[in-house]
Amino acid sequence: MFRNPKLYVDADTNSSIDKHAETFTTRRHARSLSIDRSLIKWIFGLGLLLLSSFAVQAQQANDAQMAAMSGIAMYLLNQESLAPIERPDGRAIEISLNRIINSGINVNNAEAVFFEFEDQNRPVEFCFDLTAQGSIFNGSVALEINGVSAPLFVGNDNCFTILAHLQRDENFILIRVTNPNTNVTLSRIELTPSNRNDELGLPTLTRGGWDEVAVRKVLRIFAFGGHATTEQIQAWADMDSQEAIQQMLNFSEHNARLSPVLAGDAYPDSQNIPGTLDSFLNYFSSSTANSPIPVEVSFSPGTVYRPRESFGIGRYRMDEGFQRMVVARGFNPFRQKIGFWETNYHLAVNLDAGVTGQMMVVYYDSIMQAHEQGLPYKDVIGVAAKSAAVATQYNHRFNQWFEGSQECACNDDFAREIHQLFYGIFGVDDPNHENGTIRETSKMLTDMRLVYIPSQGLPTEVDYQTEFHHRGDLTILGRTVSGRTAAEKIDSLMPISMQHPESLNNLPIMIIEVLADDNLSETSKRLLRSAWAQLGVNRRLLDFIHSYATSRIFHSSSQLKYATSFDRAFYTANKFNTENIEAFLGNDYYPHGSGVGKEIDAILVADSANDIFRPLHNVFGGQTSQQASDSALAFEGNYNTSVPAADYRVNRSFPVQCEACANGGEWRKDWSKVIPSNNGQYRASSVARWLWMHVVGNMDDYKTLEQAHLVSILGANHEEDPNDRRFLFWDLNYLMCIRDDRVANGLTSNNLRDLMAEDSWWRYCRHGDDGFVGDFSPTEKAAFNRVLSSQDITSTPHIDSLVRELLVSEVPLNSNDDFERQRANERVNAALAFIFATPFVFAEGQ
Amino acid sequence: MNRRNFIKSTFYSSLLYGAGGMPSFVNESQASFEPLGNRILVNTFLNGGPDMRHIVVPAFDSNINSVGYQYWANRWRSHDIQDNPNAWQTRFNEDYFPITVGGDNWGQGGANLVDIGGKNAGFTFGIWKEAGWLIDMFVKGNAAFAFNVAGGRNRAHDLASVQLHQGNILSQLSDLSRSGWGGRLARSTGRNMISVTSTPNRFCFGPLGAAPNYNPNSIDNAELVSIAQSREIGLNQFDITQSQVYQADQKLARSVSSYYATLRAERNLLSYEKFMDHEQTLRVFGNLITERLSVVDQPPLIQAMMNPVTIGGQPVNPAPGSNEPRPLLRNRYTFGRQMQNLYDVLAINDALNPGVISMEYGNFDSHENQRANENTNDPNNPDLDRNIEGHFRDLFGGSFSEEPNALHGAFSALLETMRQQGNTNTERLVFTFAGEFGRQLKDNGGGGTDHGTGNMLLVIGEQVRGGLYGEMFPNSELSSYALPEQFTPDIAAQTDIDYLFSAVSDWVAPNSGRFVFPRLTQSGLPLEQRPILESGVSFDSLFV
Repeated sequence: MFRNPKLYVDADTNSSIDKHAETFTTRRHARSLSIDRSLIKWIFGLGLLLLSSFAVQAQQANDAQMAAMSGIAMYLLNQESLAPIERPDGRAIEISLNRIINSGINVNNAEAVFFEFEDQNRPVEFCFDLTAQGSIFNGSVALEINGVSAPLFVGNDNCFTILAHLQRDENFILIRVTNPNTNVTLSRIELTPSNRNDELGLPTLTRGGWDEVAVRKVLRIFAFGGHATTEQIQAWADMDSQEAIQQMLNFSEHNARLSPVLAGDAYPDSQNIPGTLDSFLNYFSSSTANSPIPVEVSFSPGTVYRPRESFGIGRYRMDEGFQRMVVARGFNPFRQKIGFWETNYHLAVNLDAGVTGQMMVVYYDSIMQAHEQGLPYKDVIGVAAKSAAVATQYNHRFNQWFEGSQECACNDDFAREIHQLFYGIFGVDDPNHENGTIRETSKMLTDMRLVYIPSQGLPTEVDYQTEFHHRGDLTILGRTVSGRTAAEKIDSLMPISMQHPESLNNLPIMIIEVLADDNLSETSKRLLRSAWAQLGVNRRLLDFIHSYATSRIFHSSSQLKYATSFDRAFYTANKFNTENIEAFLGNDYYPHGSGVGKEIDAILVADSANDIFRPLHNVFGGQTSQQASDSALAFEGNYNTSVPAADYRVNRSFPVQCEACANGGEWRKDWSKVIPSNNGQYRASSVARWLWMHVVGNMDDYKTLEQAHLVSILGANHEEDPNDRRFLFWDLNYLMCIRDDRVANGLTSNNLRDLMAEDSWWRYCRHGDDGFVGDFSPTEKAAFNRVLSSQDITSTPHIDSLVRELLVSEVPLNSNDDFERQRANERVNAALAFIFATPFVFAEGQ
Repeated sequence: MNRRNFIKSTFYSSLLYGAGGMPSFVNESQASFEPLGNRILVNTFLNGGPDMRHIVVPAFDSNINSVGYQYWANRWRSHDIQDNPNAWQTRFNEDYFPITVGGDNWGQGGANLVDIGGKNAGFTFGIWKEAGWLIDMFVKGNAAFAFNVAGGRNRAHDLASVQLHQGNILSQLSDLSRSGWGGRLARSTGRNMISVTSTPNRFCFGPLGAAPNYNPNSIDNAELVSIAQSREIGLNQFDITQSQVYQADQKLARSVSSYYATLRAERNLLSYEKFMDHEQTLRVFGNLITERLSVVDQPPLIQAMMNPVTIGGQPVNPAPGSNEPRPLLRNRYTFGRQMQNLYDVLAINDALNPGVISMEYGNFDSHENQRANENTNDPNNPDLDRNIEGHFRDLFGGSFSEEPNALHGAFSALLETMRQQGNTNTERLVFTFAGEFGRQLKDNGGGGTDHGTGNMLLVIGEQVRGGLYGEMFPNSELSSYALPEQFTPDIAAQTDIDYLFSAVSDWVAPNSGRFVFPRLTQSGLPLEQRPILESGVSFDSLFV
């Protein structure tokens, strides 16, 4: 049994074998279990589209068709027996487990090449990269695995899983070229175990499992989607997963691969200024920033408003400043994701609890600087525990120990939460936790001064004093904690906490559950705990995340993460915006008529999710993913934002141009900067697929239904009156309405061009026509109200025919006609709005 | 009809009519508050662990060995007063309405208050005067104070909250897939579980299966309807009465609604089930609520929860010396909104068919300065942070015999509004108030109180047999006060919520309590896992 996951075509329909073979089932494997002939037929029918969407460079059409044909052969493979096969003719190359052949091996029609290996008694994955010179067409290059044909394609990572019980004593993988004008080269040839663990013991993805879908999944969960180009995503998918993850997820202030500024962006400074929150807010709120937000505006005579200043540290839109940093290109969205999680969830503090804006920024940057420096996680948590923000949040800055009376004028708040929230230590089965550890911890947290400075307010650093500090040793968590000051004692406590049994048990789960998975199984938890423990007391969070993000725990069919309102707001903004003018304006309106970009704050308000840095549950953190998923309000808000209630709101929600917003000049949205063309063309089918992959991250639910709705929006180009060019797109029901009205009026030619002729779309399916004053006709109403099933779409000849026409329609994103180009961009935005309204924006996973 | 059945019938009707032709839900007779058709529980979760001993306190007693002395000697910081008996006495005299069990103020208007178990005979306590509605309901015999009750028997907010919501102190943080007791009760009523918070609490999650033999350890939200903004609810839909050609909004609305309808029919999207469910509920109930409420005015006092309102030419809650109205509630944007939702749900109860309604008031975690800005001359200033006193005033404020003109709090305003509506059957309402845990006996060094265990819970309603259930300030606490500094005594949990709220459940849905709280009848439980009940206390006669 073989698999080639990269093609989303799989022969494996025997789930029982698969389950026996592997403890963990990857997403791709899970998908393969449900594959059926209709899917294969579908892929075959859309072979061209499949390949163009995934940007395989060479010989695209033929390769795709070849792959799809091979897919059918692969499917039939299940019917084959395990009869012995003869040693093939050709050049033999012996391969062995875990040995890679990097050098190229050329194959032409003069001589076939076959790789041989012995029975490994375990499932293995065989992979190679394939390049081609000369003519490639269906059948010109063939692959056989133990005598059975399998698909291959030009590109990296042709990978095939060969389960243990299907291996012979001697196994042969044959590559044969039948066309005399074709030469192919195989490289990076390797045979690896399918079930591998990384050095922390987590089951890691194979080369075949690490693909574009896997990369997008990592980006969605750990980087708010990021801003990486399609090409970069493919490059990461082609890399070794361990190498790729290092590039994708690191704590540098800038990550140009993850968040590149597009060429020609009018606001590129983000890639050059320091990537700390402090630096960004100071820059962004300054009058000298290169920003589309005006320095001063006047809404009425005599009034001056300085909108930039409101984004400054401690100002009322500081949280929105942070939002802009997350979605701006040029920084590092992973750093911001972790920073947001640390300061709003795991180590949450709250501007509503007395923490000042200055403190918050120092808190955020100190934590992220500690991560960037590669400090052990215990020290990162120590930075937080010693901060002015935490001392203010919990008010232990007032805690005092009186040596004479041996009294502690203290509260227990942080004395409890430093254990529970920071490390997951609840004191279960510890009879001394409440009256011992917590009380002793409150003594530890004494004489941490924050003295108000007139004209400056509270300082951003704690002044650790000894006068009212409990200077003696304390017994916390059953261990002696020493130090002259609270800071020294916190430093003394951190390694104890980090290695406490409850912490080892709970903290890794707390991290992964909040960041990445609401559905961890007990087996996964056990493995995560083991991996966490293996990292030792000086474990770094990043190492743990890297291991998890490339593991089959994360990339399994059981992983499911509901998006919080924050996740969804940032993610959809990152998927909507293409340039920094959009990120910076965030749909703000100023007198010069700007208002471009996806607004984030409105989503948080509509969802009642509270502001950033003002977590809904105070120190317990912001809105949880479970809460977000249970919130009908959040669903409603998202739906009604994507599907606005008035036409003008659509235009406001999906702005594609502004007159004087870009350094006083015009700006126009240009999706062609990020959507790859197919030889200079933008077919509705490939744009629709690209958009779906761009937002949803996989094609699991991109089916006939989704395709039909999206290509209707994207591909229906109507003839325009040059003097009346308005924002206009069509939906599938509307197209059906025009068609049905035409039929009702005796017209027999009703192809897409007919429907979209000016004397058609303007004349048919019009309100108040056909003798129905102020109303639609029954035929028209029926068309509008019809709920079209997938069966309707594929089996009703005129609908099927129309959708086929729409699939190959142009979306003129690179038209020379300004209006036509604008219209195309508007339709892309409308298609995105449709995707944003689907359930798939609310969760990652199946 | 519960939500799922209602949606089914309505949804199929809507398919029949087409998305642009939903059936009308309103007729002329439904243009006002519909009298309550059934008994309804309104549960308010007091999030953070409220210090109920801040609003119900013992009278100061000069006997150093009395709880009336020890309370004040260990709690003066949290009242933000001086450390001397005179200050304690003054605080009690000025700010608390005194009631002596069996004596002064023990019942007004012929009310027959109970002291279950006779544990508090002759004891004098006080209810904070700004909680006028609470005082009024108590002295009229409509408020049951249940003492030494535990929502959760631990001091961690998240775990104790899970235990309270699920009605199960055995639950752990890993047991999040269990149903809530509100959801179980709603299932037992055969009516809907309605959440008026921004997102439903675990209290609301229903069990799997039909009552009474449902599985409490699984979740099925068949009856859950979330109404976070009753006057702005629903999904945008295309309007076929309008021209469509240039209307981008209509086109998007049509394609997305059509898409969801097909998606639901064709695919089993387990991971996305919640969102498919939201879409269907909002589409159907959104229409229903919008239509029904379009002819139901929001009375001024209900509006006043959130907004400045003038009634009969009189501004509501003006500042001293001002004639400008101000909102009634400090927590107006969240709790005020919930109260408006609550009113609307009750007003169209015939359509929404509520069995249980869930509310929440937060920020009760008062580790420091739990009494703030007490010297103001404008205590009703909705913009003034008074910490938990502000919260308590929002909830329990209102008039009583001594302060007949006191400003309404939330529930006082609600009931007054319902009274003004005429025959609304308010006797069919019961209100419960509970936090996840109580605070410790002693205050801390920051003028606040730290996490404890036992607490006072409230059950209020016209059919409630008002009075005291449990020993208010147990004498056993005297020894706890004397413990060394490093110990953190709390109000000992003597009763689990199972007993109290099963009695409430039985009133709302007869014979449901032992199913809503299955631990009560579960056999084979080890002793330490069985529900506890304070000696001499019974809730069998909690309702008249």
